[in-house]
Amino acid sequence: MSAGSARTGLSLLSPAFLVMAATLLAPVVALVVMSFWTQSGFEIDRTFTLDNYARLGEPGEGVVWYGIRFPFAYPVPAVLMVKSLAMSLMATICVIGVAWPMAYFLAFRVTRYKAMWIILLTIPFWTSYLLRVFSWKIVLGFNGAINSGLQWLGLIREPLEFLLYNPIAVMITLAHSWIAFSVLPIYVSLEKIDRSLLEAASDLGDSKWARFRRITLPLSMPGTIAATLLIFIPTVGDYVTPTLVGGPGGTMVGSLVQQLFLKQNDAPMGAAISIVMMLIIAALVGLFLWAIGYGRMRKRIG
Amino acid sequence: MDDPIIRLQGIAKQFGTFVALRDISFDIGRGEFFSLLGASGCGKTTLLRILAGIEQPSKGDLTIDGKSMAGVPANRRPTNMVFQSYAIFPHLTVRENIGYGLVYQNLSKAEAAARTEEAIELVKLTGLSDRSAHQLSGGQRQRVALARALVCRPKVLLLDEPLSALDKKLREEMQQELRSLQRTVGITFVFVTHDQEEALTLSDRIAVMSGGKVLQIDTPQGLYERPNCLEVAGFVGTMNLFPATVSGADGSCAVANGTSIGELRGRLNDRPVTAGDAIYMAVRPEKIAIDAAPHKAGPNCAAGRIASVSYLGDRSHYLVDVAGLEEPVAVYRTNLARQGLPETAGTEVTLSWDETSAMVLPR
Repeated sequence: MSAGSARTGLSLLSPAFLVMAATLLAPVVALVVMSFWTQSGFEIDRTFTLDNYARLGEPGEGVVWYGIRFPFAYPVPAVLMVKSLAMSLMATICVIGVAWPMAYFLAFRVTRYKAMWIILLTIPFWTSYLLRVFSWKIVLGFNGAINSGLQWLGLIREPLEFLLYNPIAVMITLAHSWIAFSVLPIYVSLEKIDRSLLEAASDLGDSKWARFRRITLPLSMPGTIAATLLIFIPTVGDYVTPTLVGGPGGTMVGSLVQQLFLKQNDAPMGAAISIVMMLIIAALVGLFLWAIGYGRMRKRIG
Repeated sequence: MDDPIIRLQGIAKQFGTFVALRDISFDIGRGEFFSLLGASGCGKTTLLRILAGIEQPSKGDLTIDGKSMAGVPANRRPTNMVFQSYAIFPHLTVRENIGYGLVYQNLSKAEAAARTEEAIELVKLTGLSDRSAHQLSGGQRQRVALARALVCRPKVLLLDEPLSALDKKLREEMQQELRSLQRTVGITFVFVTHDQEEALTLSDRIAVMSGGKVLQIDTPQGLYERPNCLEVAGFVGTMNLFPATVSGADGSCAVANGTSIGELRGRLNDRPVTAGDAIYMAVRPEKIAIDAAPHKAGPNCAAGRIASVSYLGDRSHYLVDVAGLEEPVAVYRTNLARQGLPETAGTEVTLSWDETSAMVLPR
């Protein structure tokens, strides 16, 4: 590359780089810095200290949650972190389970009006995230669509109370909000598969199912992994959905961070919890990619 | 043909309203190198895909090795295919690609590994077994595709223009290798190509196809020397055509007149003609003698003027304008015999040929 084209490349990159620096890097740096401060009453003490982190790891009597012991003096963040990861994982599995067949249908069965199908997929995004979450409140609520429907059919007398304000409601809502995001990457990776590869697999003796297992599934992995991360990472930290449909039982770690920042007036602690969560997610994602041999796969499929 | 490996009876294929194949019937013998030759869109690839079981015929019966293939899917046919794009599985190594079909052969792990190594050696890919598809050149991919199909020991190997993506030199090398490979393994090869030279070089027999029909099936020599119609004559090699009217026939030879260059004589090729039939007298370019001597009286002789000379190294191509003919006459001479021949455009020359070198084609 000549000096001139290097300069062109840098100048092309610079707008994106500036935006990223201003909106992504700066807040993260601020968060890291803040996590080393402490809150004393209404004032923030700006001397460097690891107190917040020490408090998160401080051993104590702890609590038992679903048979798991959390031996910490301040166990709430740890419990909520594990719970958030579990709920996001469930939501992600649901999303991939629904989105994968949809993407497959789009890539292999739809021959005409593909663009129209893809536009139809994005229709849920035409309304705001908040409205979509609210709509689930209407569907699952005490006087909501499901309860009134079942009552009208005479199947139940009293409205069911277990539909809303629990972890299941959070998972359903999260899954619904993120499905369209995951269809597209999976669809792209399936669409890219050369149809002659499938013919060759049949020709070499594969039944339809064997061919799916040996060719289609492995070749769709880059898109499927991208979709998994795309859903898992943002849902772990979500607090809007748990706040609106989660009730007391459906709280996630994002709700705690929000509480610490806005209501309990302990922003440094909130920052420390955010940082720990970020590191845990990064470690989990790294572990996940390593476990499935992503590097080797990317080298081969390109 | 007794006990053919492949028997096609009345095979037809329609895609919607488009007729891709109509009423195809012929046999392919065991161990034959059989080519399907035709321009793109003639239906040759569709026919190959029907043999493989990837497409189903709309009509007709296909028998492979004595068994009807009706309702037998691709994965249960004794055929394997080399795809035009090679269709190398990108997520597998060379070895995994080649061994792909062996899981269905009831082999032990050791046997399967041995068969794979044997195939890798056969196509000269030793040392590349652990590479993945995108680290291979075009020629190497082609070998992987070939080995992957051959390792399953099919009764018939189907090849869909496997050499068309290679450059000329590599293609000629691969042609030689393919031919010797076919002799080594003794499997029937059905080879689809649009390259007539390739078909002539490789095949035991060739079926020339056009518009979903088979025009002629013959040996390379048969197709070249005795084409049964104008289309075959034009597709396989170059042919000079002299429009004429039959004035009579004696034995295997036709006499024709009504041309601007006098009497023409040529072989009938078992095609009966009667006086008054409008025909073409057809002569291959390399069978015409060209010299500077003045025009002699007699049949199969024409006076002309050189329009252009192309020097091709081993031979030269002349185009000669002959009075009364729309197209110039093509004449090929090897450069061994070129000494003393006219070199420049505009020179008056005489063309002449034997009556056994000319043949009658219906007009």
